[in-house]
Amino acid sequence: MTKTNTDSIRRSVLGAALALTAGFIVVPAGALHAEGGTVLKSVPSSDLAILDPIWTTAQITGEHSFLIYDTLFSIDSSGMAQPQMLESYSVSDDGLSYTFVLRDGLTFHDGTPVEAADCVASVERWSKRRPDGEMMNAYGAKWAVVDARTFTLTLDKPYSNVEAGLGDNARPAFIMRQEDAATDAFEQIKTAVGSGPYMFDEEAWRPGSKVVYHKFAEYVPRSEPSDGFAGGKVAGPDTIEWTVIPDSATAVNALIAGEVDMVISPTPDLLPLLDADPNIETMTLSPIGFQGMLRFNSLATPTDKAGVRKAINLVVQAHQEEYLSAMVGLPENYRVCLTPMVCGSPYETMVGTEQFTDVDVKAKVAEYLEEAGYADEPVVVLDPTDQQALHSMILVLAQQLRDVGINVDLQATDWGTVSKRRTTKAGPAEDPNGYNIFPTWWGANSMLNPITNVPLNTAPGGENWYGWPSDETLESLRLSFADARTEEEKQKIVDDIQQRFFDVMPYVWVGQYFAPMGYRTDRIDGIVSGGTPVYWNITLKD
Amino acid sequence: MLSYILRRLAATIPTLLIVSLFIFSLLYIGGGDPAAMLAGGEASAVEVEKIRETLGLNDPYLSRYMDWLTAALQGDLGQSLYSQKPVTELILQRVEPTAMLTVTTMIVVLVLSIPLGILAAWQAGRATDRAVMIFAVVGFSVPIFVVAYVGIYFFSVQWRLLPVQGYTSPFEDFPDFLGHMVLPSLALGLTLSALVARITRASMLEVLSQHYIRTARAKGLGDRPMLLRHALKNAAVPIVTVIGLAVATLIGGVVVTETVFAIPGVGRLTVDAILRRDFPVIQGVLLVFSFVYVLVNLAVDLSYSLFDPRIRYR
Repeated sequence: MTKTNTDSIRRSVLGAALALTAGFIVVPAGALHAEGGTVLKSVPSSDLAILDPIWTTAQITGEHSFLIYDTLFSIDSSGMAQPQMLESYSVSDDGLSYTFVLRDGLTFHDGTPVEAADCVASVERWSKRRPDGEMMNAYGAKWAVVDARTFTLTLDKPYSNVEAGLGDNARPAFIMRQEDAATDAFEQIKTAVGSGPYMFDEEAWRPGSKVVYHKFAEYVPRSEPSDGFAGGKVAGPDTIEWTVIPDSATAVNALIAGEVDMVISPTPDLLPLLDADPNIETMTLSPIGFQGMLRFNSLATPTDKAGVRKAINLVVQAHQEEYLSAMVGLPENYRVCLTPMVCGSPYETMVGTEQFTDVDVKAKVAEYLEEAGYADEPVVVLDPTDQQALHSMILVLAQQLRDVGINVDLQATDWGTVSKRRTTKAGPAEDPNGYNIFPTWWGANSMLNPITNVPLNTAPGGENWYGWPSDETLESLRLSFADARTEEEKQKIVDDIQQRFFDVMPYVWVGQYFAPMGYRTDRIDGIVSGGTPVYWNITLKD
Repeated sequence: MLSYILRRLAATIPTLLIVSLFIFSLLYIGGGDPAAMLAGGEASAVEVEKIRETLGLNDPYLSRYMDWLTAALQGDLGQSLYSQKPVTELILQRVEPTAMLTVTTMIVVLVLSIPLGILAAWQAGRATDRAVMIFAVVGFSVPIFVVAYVGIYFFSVQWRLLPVQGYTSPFEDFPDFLGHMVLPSLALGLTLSALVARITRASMLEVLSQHYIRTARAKGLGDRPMLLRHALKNAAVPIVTVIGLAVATLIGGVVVTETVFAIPGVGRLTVDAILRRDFPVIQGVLLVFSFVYVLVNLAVDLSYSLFDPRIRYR
């Protein structure tokens, strides 16, 4: 190496070091922030990796879809479905024919008008992958285009949840262009063109890092005031920017430092930090939150015996608060709830729950196990250590089951492996991937309605959700909910379902917990509550 | 020299083939099912099976490997099962932040560690040496995330001098880029500086005990030329080796730093892909990593001859 080269390198290194030092000392944070008074910066609940809301049930894809797609119906703050894209609709007296008329002026982001054919294709695709749609199909649903703005639905027998199903707050029938909706329901659509208040900027999308939406100038909101997800969806900020921050502590620090305006899913241990900041508020988007769940493999020994499942359930219900406390910490973040049909829901019922209170847990568990002929077979419990709440839940479970004499085989793994292993029907004795219990969680919105409560399906034949519990009586009760015409009838059915549930025990529910979001009160106002985070009607303060 | 480089580059081909087969086999026998992850928590086993069929995940192992290898040899690493974006595009989007983080970190490392290592060797056994060694032990012992969070707390949250997270390209806004790189580079550079400083000290001490150094001293050579011109150059080979390893480690191992500072680099791409079982992305990224490792090792080997004329490559 020559002297000149050495000097040159030395100068470069010195220059870079000086520049680095200068940056360290003098660059003010304000100068480092992207500018733009009409940019709302949010940290989403997770990375947006899939754009198709029918292909996946991932919550983040739902959040994305509510921004760019519109829906035929929306649910208002009282839980009632209200027309959203529809100017009007009518139902025949016998409940077998529906006629829907679209609002005038609805336009897709590519400039083409929204027509009845788009709606029919979208609903038909949705109905192949979502419980409400599948139920409508089972009731003989036939969709037909009448003219550009009118379409119809005919059924073989009345179905009570048509409007609420189409407008569901979590998995509604998002309306896509006919060409997109024609895609097989088991293949991903390749575009993200909707008719909602915001447009997806595919060029700016950086999976794992950034997602950008722009206000859709042609969107015409309903004239009614916003009420839950119903009413006018008014786009406020010109641009919505999602910054994916995988580490919750960093996301919270970014919110405190004013780099972002909202954080959708701060971990519970960091909420006190947000509460301590006068410019930040926390808000629970869903008043009924989420339900923790332990799902049995009902085909595998020993959880194939109802007695063993009931024993495990009793252990959990008798100590439910300990599980919730381990999962989400502070009491304001959870609610002890002894009904699987969700506390605070329209169908909340305490029928049969007295068996979980004032009981000698050890003695009752021993009785259940003896009746079931439990012979100390290992109960394989999957523990996804990368899911903090579920991991905590499982650690408490393992210890408490051991305390009552159940032989627990705790198998630590990650969520990806749990997702695969839970598809294994064979028990642990026959297949190394076999299991007896895996943990998960569900939005309580889905669990309160027997039709959308997927794990409640106990149809014999092994094609229901993982765990494959089988009970014709419970399934028949569940399906009868769709036939009920009055709220009284529905409540009676839910009471009966719960009684039978406690005998069959398809899963263990673990109370309810809440996941508050955090936002800067000095920056934004008007956040819509309703479960899924949505971004319409938000106004920026400066 | 040229023929040596060509031979080394040619030797990467079987290496990469073995690596690709190993990665593919590992993913095949390992836990996890991309179809189950893709379908989401509510999907039934029947739905998952349909998706698996659609994605060709039920095809025989060898057939899938050969399809992937054939495409890879033509420069096509496939597309993400999730975003459906080409793997090469995803990697290219992530290379710049990781490369820039590596460069700025190495600047921190070189600026801190080489002078400290030389200083410690020069002052061996004295208070300065002990202070440098304490720094080295502490720097190497404190986890990166601790330094990162403490840095964020003071410099970003309390004093508002630096941003908490994110990345800006230097080609778009250089001051903003610098601001975003300071904390991550310091957090990451502290550990490596400690390591390189120790190696520099040890290597310098060995050289300083050589006869020719004693002779140079006896002839009246001053400390500065003796340390910088005679000793450092001869102590450079092990130092360069460690720096080369550090660069290779940084390229593939900055996951914690990228996660804490939300830098969209290759490390995070890899971890996200592994957690999701996005097989094409995992395969593509690891293949690229392997190639970069081979190149870094080659560069380190070639640099030896710059410092030690006795080393010749044929």
